[in-house]
Amino acid sequence: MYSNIESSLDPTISAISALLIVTSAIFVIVADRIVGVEKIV
Amino acid sequence: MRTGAGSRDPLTTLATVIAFVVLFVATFPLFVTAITAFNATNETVFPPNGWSLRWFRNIARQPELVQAAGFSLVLAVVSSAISISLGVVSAVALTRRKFFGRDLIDAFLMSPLLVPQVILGLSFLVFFVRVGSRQPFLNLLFLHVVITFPYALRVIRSSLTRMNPKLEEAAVGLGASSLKSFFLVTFPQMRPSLFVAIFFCFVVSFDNFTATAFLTVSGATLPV
Repeated sequence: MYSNIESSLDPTISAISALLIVTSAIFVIVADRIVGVEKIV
Repeated sequence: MRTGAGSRDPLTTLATVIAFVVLFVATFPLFVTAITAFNATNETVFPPNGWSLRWFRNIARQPELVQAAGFSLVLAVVSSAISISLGVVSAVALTRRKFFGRDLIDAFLMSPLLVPQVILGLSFLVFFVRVGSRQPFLNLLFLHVVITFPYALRVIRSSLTRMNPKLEEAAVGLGASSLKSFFLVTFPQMRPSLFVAIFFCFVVSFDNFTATAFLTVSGATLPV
């Protein structure tokens, strides 16, 4: 990602970031359902 | 005593407002990044000049990014698995056993958290050059295990400290071997902390940039 930003600044990296953000959010929601956020944090 | 929204004192209201401001400041950059991904033009601007999913399709057209993501994923999974395994063994030893130098060993095992990642990356680079190791994956795996291990140890150890050791002792007293009592009594209680440890290790490994940049060529892992 870093080397990609150095060479060109198109929104592809933003798209990857968006996917990672959504994946992380889904993971936290699933973790909350399975374990409970109060036990994680 | 009054309860409900009407009884909120000014201090609670102020604290709630501050909490929302902090939440906004912390998440707004993520929100902006996610929204710019939907730009119709090839400029990274906010708000977007039109809406499109072309940049998501463009990810698949860049094999180096897909390859780097796969490499990072494998590296994160393998290093997390090793760190969790070592973390469980170390946490049990440090929590359940008393031996000379236990606190010193504990502090030493946590030291990668305190050492700046630039120093860690440079040290590993010098070490691998010195020993002549030419296995990029194994070199990175070694580094990532060292980086993620303290997270696994800390989370698992805090969970073990909260557990009642008498439950294990009771199982042993009823005839179970120490290994059996661990897997039937202790391990099920550790599951939430293992889940947390896996999450931490995976995230720390997957998005590590600073130390990883010393041991890899540009573009080998997703962040680099």
